[in-house]
Amino acid sequence: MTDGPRYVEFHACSAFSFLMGASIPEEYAGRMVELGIPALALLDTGGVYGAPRFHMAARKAGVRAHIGAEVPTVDGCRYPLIARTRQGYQNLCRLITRTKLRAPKGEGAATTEEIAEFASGLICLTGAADGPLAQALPQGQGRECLDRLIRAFGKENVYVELQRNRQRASEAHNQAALELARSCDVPYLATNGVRHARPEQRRLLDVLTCIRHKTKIAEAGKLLARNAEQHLKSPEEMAELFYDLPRALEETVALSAEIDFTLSDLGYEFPRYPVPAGETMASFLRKRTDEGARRRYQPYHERAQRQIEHELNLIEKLELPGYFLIVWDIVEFCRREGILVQGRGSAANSAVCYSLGITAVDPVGMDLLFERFLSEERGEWPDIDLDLPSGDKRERVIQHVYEKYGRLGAAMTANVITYRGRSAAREVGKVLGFDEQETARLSSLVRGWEWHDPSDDNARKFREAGLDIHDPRIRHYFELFNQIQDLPRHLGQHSGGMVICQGQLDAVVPLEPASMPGRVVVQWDKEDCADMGVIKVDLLGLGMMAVIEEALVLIPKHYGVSVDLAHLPQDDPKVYRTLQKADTIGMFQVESRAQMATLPRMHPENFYDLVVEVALIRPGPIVGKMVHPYLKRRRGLEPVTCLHESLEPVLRRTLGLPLFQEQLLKMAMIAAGFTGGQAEELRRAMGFKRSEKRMAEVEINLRAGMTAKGITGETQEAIVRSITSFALYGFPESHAASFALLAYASAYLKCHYIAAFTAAILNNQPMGFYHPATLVKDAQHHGLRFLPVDVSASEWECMVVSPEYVRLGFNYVRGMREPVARALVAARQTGAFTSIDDLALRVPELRKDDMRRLAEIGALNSILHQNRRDALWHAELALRPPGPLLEPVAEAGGASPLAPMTLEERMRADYYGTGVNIGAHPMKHLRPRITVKGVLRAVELAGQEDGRWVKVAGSVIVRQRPGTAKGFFFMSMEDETGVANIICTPNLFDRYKSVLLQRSFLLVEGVLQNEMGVVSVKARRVMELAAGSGIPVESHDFH
Amino acid sequence: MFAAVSVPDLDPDGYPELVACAADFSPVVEESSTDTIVFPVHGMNKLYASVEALAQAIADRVAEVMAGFHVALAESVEIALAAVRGLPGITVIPHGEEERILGPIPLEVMAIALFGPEVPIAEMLVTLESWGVRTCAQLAALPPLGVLERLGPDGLRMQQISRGIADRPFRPAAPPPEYHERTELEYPVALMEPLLFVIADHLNRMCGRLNQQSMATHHVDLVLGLEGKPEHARAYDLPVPMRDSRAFLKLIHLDLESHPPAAPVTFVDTRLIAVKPRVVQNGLFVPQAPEPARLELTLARIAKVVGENRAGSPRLVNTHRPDAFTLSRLAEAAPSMPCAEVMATRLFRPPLAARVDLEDNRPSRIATRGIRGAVVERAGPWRTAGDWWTESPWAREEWDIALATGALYRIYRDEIAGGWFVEGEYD
Repeated sequence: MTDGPRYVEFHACSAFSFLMGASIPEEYAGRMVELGIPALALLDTGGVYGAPRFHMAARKAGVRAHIGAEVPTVDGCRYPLIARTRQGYQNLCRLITRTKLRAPKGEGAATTEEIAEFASGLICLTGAADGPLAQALPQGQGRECLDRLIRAFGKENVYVELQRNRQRASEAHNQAALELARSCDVPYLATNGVRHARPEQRRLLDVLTCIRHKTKIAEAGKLLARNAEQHLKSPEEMAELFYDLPRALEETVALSAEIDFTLSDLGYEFPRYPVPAGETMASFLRKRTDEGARRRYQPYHERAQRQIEHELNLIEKLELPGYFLIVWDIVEFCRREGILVQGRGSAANSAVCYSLGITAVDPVGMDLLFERFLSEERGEWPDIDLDLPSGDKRERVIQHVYEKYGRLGAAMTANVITYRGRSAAREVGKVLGFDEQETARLSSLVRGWEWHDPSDDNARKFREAGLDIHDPRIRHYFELFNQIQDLPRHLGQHSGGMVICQGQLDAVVPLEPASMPGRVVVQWDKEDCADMGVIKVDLLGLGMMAVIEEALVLIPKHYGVSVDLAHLPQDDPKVYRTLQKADTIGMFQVESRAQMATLPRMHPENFYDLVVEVALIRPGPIVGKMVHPYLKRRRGLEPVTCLHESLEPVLRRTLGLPLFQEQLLKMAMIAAGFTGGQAEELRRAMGFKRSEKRMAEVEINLRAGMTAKGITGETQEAIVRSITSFALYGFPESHAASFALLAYASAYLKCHYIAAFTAAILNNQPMGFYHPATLVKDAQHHGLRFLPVDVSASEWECMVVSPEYVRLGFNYVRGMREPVARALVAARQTGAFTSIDDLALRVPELRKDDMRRLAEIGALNSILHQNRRDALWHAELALRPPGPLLEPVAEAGGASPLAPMTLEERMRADYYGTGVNIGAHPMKHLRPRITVKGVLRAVELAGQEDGRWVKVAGSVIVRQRPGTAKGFFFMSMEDETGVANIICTPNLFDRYKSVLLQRSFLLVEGVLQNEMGVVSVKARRVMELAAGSGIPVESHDFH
Repeated sequence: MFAAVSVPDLDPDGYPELVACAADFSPVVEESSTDTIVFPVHGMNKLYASVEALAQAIADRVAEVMAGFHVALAESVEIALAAVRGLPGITVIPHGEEERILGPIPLEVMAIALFGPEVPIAEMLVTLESWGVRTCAQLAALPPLGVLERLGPDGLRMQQISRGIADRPFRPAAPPPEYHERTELEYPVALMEPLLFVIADHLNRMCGRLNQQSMATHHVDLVLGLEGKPEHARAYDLPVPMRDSRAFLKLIHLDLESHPPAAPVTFVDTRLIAVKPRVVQNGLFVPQAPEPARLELTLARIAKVVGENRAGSPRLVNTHRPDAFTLSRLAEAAPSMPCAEVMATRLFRPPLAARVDLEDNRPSRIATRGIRGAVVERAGPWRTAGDWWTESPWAREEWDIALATGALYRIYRDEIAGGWFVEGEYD
């Protein structure tokens, strides 16, 4: 390299310039190695979005990453700025934050005064066609421009930028800029204004340009690139371009050597927790932990004391007491505000977290692996995730963190939304000028089915849809569709990840407004934050937490007892009986079809069984083929053996099979001699979205390690298979334990306080696996009775009337808004409504549609004791006040000339108007018409012999085609007695696809599978139950 | 009494035939919708044994040209329309029997009959459905005042028709004025002058009518029947609507000289499309532009000399492709933009194919017609490429070269087809 020309690229934009660059940072790092470029400055527009990924990729590739950004200004220029020092980087982040936070999302421009204000420590290039110099030169103000930059940045930090992209017009600019540089004695350097790593990616750049300008490629004209020259060029190519200006290249190398800032030198510091005088954070943490431990552990036994001491020592050694105190402070805030909170994830491995009340699982009692949470060797921040009730309460906690650490001290992590499947298909199709129909056809080809046939590659899909892949238009589409995959599209907000900082977070990473009002988001996603050592607390909303919280408020009011979540009776027999029967609709984590199919076989008898149950039905154990062997071993049908005798201590508790992520880490440490750090790398690869490559690398190390330890052949294969199959879906034991706690709590509440539980779950929809209609029917099967929506009695929420009765709330009236319902309830406080006119008069917020809907679902019946049709008749008049001419003859109420609704009409009106039906199940009405055909009720299936040919009918409540089921399609059908599970083979699914996916009521014939209390029908024939068509029953579909 | 005929899914081409059927029974027809007509048959029953026989006769006449139709006879237009939509086959509704016969008709169907397929009363139908009122009989049974209060005048109208009370007048369709002349010649005409004489006569008459009706035209169609050959059809688009028959005649004259008929003419068929004339008041200080008719004639004369599609105003195309332009009509041309003083380039059209020798990938010698010599200085290459998504992508590499003679040329290499070209010479 020393013999040939040397060059550093100082102006490259990646795909993180959102639609202005066509390569991801990793592609640049790879290409730099191929071309022999030792360093590159990534200058994305308006941010440092791609900087962490580039920094990490460059470090791995052995090249240097300079960090900067193109900062847009109000006069339409873009200033290429590069961080020379840490202060420069901090200034860049602050400058960008200031411009972003005052502008709508995705916009923001600085003034020239602001550029000068934040110039310290930054290097400024004069830019290309959209740079400040190019704008000034044609007006004869080049010199003034350069002087202004020198005044702001200092002479040693301003470089005249020359780009030679083989464009005729740019050379005149170059000559003028060069002359100016020489006359002002300012150094000049060469860049290539890079927008993509390879020349062929110019086409993709053109497509992105069209998307940005919302135009078609045939109409984009001069918006498109003039040629394909803005790719990363080798030093040789650059030397040829600048054959007459060798200094332009030499300067790049010299400047690169001068820059000492890298992202490793971020200067991030987690906030210090303010402690009372005379205390240190460590001593304060010790006291709080001790207090908590004495409350939690009764008695505070020696094992717990030892564990806590060990943890505290490590926490102090790693200087993490502040972090634990800050999380404890959030938890305390929740407690003061009466907000239910529970830590999940690896934090549940820590006895300190348990003592501080952050988590609810006792890791000592459960023998959980603390090192999974925190290890000295990893040198990484621990990860604490807090589950909060979804909705307003979680928002209150988030706002509390903002208030406590300041708007510039805390922010949400970003979520980079990328082009995938359908969105890619639609956008590329539109740009290439396919009409709407063709675009729809093309995007339907990449329908978001979870499951993908291994042979189902894109080319085959195109062929099947009658599209010729050799047609140039289709070929371009196909190529571009593949190229655009996974390219960043825009920045979203992560569901709950918050980062906080001592001092100002905007000096660490630029902040932006999120689309949600009141939220601020950083420019990095959670992986980037972890890579950069920026600590994050996940504040996640969990529907079931909200349900439990609400139920705990309702129980004392209506049952006269108080329930403490932390002290629920352990091993309640009714709970376990219910779980064993798989009677689990509405229960957290154990209500899915697959969970229900496993519960009777698993036969959980204690809490740990529930932990295993939660972790077992996951893609990891399913793909790794652990489920059936585990269940067989549990029933003693298969001997308990280990993959290797050395792994016996790790796998003993799970009958010789790895089910949890911790076990896989320990396996890697024992079998392949991995260090804690390597095991952590393995874990990161497992949980990492963009991880296939990383997993492959880890696998090589894993095999080498095992071979060195003498584990070879089939045993090695089996161990590798069990580890890699967990790649994306590993479930940590601590996490499973936290979830199992909630599962147990939800089961307990449902079993003992069904009215409170049902009202709470109906008030927190959408959540879980089932539609509210199914939850209502299930509660009715358990003896709960429902009262309809009634303007004289209902509240906005569903409410418990007594332990036997729940009344539906206005939140179930389709289209009704909360303020209207609240106004209605408020008006009712002053006296009952005497007529529909009275209602219309006193609640003017009620719109025409609300009034009609209320009449239709019978919510007005209580006024004047009329039927729904009478109410409709009078409501219609109330909505149109009569003019003075007709006033004397206006009717006052009472019976109408309309016929009352039939039973079927009432049922349709209920489903349509509220989405639920509290009367008889539609199948009860249809039953007389189908029993002659020999159709069984769902409840009768369990009494039939395995292998018998049966017919069953019902409304479809869940459709599912999971990625792990090899194309099998599962469906739950509900009738008036319960739920029947249907299994369809891939062939049958293809044959009856439209009926299965589009019809609400089905009749299925097939072979009954009845084994160990798990009952399902393997479908052979499917047909629509025509009598049920038109009843607007909704289902939850997961396909 | 009125007869209504409805043909669901009627092809638009079949509509005139349906109207023609009605013409056998009545001189006036109401074209109610794209598939239904109504016409009066007062007194016709005297020609037939009964109203039923009249209905049958109408059905027989329609059956001669199409199938799948329905016929209804009733005392009023709306009742006939509702019946023909809602009741299949042939229906005769005697006076006083309307409510009973219309009873089973679904309200949705009646709404379409009365208000057309884009039912503006969809909301009313939803309300009626929620009331469980789905047929005319059910609607008829409601108290009229209650209906009026709740559903307004449209609801009351529906109800009255359900009860057989309807009084909408018949609305006969008026034919639009025709601007069409046709002359069958007594003998084939082979000379231009007598042919123009006939065309002039057509144009004079039609322009006279245009004048009477304060209309003008922007499109003239001329069809000449030829002896033993297919018809000779020409179409003329005008930039602004006009009604000057002499200008049209001159335009057609020039065009026929460029495109003469291939055989003697047997008939002349001329048709105009009438539009509203354009009224423009020119500004006091705006220079007088040529009269549109004269300008059009001048352009036609130029086009006759240089060829069609080769006259007009050049317009740049929005692309990086060098020298890309289209020709547009002069009247549509954009005003020219002032441009800075730049070095002029004389382009060779078409570019000159050349032989270019390279040294270190740079041009060193060039040879083509009239240009030859060693390259003493060069700048480039400049690269442009585009249209990669089409079947005719382009890519080229441009150089500016100086020869020893001092001449400066722009040359380029076509990177798709290969080969070097001299594109132009700098002044």
